[in-house]
Amino acid sequence: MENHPKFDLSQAVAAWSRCGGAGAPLLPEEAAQREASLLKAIGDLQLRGLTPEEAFHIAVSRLEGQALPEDSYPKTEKQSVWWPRLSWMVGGLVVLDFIGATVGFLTEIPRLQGGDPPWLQTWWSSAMRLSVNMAWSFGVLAVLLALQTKPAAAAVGGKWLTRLGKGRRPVLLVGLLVLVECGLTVAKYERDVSQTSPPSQEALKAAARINRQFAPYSAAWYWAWHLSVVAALGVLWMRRRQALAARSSTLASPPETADSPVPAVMIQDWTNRFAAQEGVTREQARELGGHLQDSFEKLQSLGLSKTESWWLARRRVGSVEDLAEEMRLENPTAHWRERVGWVFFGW
Amino acid sequence: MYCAVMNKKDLVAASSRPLVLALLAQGESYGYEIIQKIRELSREEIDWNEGMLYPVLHRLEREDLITAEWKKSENGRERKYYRLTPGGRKALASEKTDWMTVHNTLERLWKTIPSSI
Repeated sequence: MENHPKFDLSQAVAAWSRCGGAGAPLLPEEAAQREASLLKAIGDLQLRGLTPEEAFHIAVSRLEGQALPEDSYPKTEKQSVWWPRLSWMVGGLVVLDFIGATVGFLTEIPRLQGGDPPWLQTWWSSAMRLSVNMAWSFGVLAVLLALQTKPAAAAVGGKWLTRLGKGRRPVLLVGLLVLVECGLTVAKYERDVSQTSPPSQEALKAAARINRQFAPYSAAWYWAWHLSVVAALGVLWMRRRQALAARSSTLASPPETADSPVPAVMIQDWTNRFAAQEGVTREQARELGGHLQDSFEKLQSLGLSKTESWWLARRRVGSVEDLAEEMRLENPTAHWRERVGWVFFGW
Repeated sequence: MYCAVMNKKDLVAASSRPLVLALLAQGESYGYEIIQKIRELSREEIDWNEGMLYPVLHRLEREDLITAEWKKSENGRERKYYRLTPGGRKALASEKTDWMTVHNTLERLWKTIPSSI
């Protein structure tokens, strides 16, 4: 009574024989001899408790001296534990800030429609905020442009950054002019206000005037800046996902010569990948990691090589299609709770 | 063919619950060991895979029939051990009654069927 997916061994062996293996075309007697060797190897492996499919793949790899077929799940980039957490922290922080900026922008509207805000305390706020935001924006832009020559930055920014880089002088010039203009305006009015203490009515009127003049720009700039950061993060996230899907880095096998069991770091690596790719919680992946290690040791004790044991253990534990799906269904909100936790931790 | 496969899958799914509960009634155990014990007890007739066992264990845990605890084994490795709860013992008794009823009925029926079938 098994619940393994159906695998037709005789069909697989026939297909393998038709292909003639990996080598040159063989004579009929040679082909028959190869098939007999394969069947014998499969029989031996099945006696050790392997399923027909597992025995077939290992016997073929032994006969042809080729690597075992790779499973789909290890074809991801090595995931560090902290990269996704950091992404959620930074991303969440920016999104929360963006929501704050949007609310701020909306609350500016009634002010622009002729309200009488308390200019006395915050007379310089709009102009100052605009200056600071401008400085941030152009500062970040300058760093990006400076990094544009570096391969790592070019890989992240790609064509978009390269195109922006071509017009870097005018962009930087306009940015600097706006920054200087803002700075001069703030400095001028601060000087005017500080000449009299308490500030004269004229200075306060001037402050109110400059505030009205800058308020729409300040709010719009603040909002647009956050919108662009959120959009940029979204683009980076999409690019990273595409890169992960396209990349094919495989897990290494444990060294055959070492006497020690599979290194804990390899189990940890697999656990991280499994959790990241399959969307199961870290505890679920950790439990499977322990199972993987037990399975690996058992297979080794059956006489399989370390490479074969490692491949087969991963295949048995990780490539069960329903497993990740079942685990996700078990606790669909657990992963999101974890992510929201990291967002608030970052905040 | 399709029906035969489906029936086997259904049988595996239905029997997994009493089998896990009965096994844990003997003492606490972890996922890999449960699979091995079931294989041994069934003389390798029942061959569960991980994709079937862990969802069953987690479901039983959600139903408070079993509890789980991370513990260090003799070789220093951490494993998640499952143990039966009082609720699990009651559920096991109920399962036993149900399955014995099915078993006894089938046994009586088998006797009426000609041995050539």
